Amino acid sequence: MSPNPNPRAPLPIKVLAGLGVVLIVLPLAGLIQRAAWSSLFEDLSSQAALDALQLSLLTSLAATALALILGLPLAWVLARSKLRGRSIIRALVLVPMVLPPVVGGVALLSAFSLRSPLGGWLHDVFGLQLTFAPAGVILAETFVAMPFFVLTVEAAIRQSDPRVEQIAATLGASPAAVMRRVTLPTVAPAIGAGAVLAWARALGEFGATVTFAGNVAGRTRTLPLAVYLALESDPNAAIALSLVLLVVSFAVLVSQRERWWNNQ
Amino acid sequence: MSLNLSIKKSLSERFCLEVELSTPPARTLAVLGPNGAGKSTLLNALAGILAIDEGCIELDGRVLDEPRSGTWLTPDQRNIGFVAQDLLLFSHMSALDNVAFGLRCRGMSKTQAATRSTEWLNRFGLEGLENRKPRQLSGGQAQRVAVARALATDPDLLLLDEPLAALDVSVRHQMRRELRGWINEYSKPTVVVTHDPLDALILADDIAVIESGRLTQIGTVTQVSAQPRTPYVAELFGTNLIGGTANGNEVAAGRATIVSAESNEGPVFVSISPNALSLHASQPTTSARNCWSARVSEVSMAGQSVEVKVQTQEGLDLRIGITPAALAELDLQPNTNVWVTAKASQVQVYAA
Repeated sequence: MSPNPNPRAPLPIKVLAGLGVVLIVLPLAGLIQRAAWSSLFEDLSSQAALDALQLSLLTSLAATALALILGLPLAWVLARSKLRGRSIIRALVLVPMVLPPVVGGVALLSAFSLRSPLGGWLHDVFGLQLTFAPAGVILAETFVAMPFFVLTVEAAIRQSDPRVEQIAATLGASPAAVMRRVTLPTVAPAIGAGAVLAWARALGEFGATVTFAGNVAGRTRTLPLAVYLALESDPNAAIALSLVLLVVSFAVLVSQRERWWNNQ
Repeated sequence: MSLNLSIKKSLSERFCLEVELSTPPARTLAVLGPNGAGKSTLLNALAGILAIDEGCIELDGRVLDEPRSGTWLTPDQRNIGFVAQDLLLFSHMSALDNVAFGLRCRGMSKTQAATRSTEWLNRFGLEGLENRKPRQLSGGQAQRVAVARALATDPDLLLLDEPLAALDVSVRHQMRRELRGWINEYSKPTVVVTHDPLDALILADDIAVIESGRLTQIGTVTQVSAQPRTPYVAELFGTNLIGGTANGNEVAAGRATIVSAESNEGPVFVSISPNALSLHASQPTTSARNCWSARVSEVSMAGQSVEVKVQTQEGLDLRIGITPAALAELDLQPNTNVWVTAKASQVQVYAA
């Protein structure tokens, strides 16, 4: 029991807090109010919209998978290994979280464009071109989204007691069995949460994608890019696509309610 | 099955564990010691969680760790049961799967492991709790699961780290008795680390005392509790320990002389139980051979009885157990002058 369970907030604080809520809710309400509900289905089933939707789903899921495959071992190393320079690696890995996405796009461009040594080599040897291609979208989305996954999972691994793994070893579990039957199941909820977070971030990615992969219909024009483009020509379609993204965001929040809502 | 070890392990520049001991089969060794004495380091070395720097750990003729010959068995190769202080059950598994874990790691089929684990749970009085997750178990139930998990694989050595420390006082006594029963049925060596002398007295056959990384006393429970050799052990078992030199029936300890019934020679320890000492407000007329004038330094409650600490004129520090009624009658305050008596037959003298 806290000594003062219901402190009365001073009026200015209440007003400012209320304004904060309004600032966030008002635009969302505007979006819903402006939606042309009667033509919603039509707007969403246009070829351009369907293409963007399909591309977004595909690339964001691929980016999430990539973030998982690379991010899980990375999170484990950051949480458990006694590697020197571990904190520097962590700082580097988390840079995309605070970096303006456009800068991320420029960075990717400098590393992977056809004119860069690496990009040129990839093209010459494997025939692989990342710019103006879905693969480039996936790379841009992974670049931006993976830190969310790594951060979430690393915290969970750090919090799990390494002595539980030691007990598993005394019971006869090989290191691989300890990882498979104890470590991973223990942090499974965090892996799920991190994947959902990373996926939501990948789905909404705009700046890095448009800078690095361009805005090619059917190849790199994801939902956010389609929304931005449609705003000029077909505002109703833009709002319809925005609603789709809003619904997805809410779904992510609901799926994570244990994590973010039950903070009492 | 017996355990022999001689280990040296530095944890820091200031702390080094250096211990040599062996336990015969089917005996339980309690390792007692103050916090930071190296008890957990010893257990971790046995379990294979820590590698020793020098020496050898040998279990039933099998070398587990010997840096000199490059022998090192990982925890999963040692076949040791380990019950940790905070149990460390697998939180994502049911009670049944926790117990079955070790059996499954040894390649037993799922159904067979489940059958065996159910038997273990039933033996430990946990019928019907198979599917509970650890967080749905009471402290005592979780404790039983942890012990069952450690014993289910039929380990060659059982390690218990402060096995009762996590329990409420109300269930601790019951659990201590149950634990004694399980240890008795288990016919291989057991090492239990504890700082509670009662655990040692009830669970163990032998006691090893570790202080600051060194073995300071080892012997049967009776020997160690009755004849402590360090101030820590004396304090633990609540007795008075005095070092001195014996000459026949008399022991010279500093300026004091203590009279015993038996005669000894040379350096000795004298142990006198607090209950064997009597307190008097004025000089008593008594047949007791030991009678000292003393000054009270501290009065405190110890359970149901009162403990009075005094210092005699000759400089002996003694603790005396009296009843609360006696305390009221004697009207003891710090610095009160009193007389302390002890019969010669109550004075234990043994070679230092």
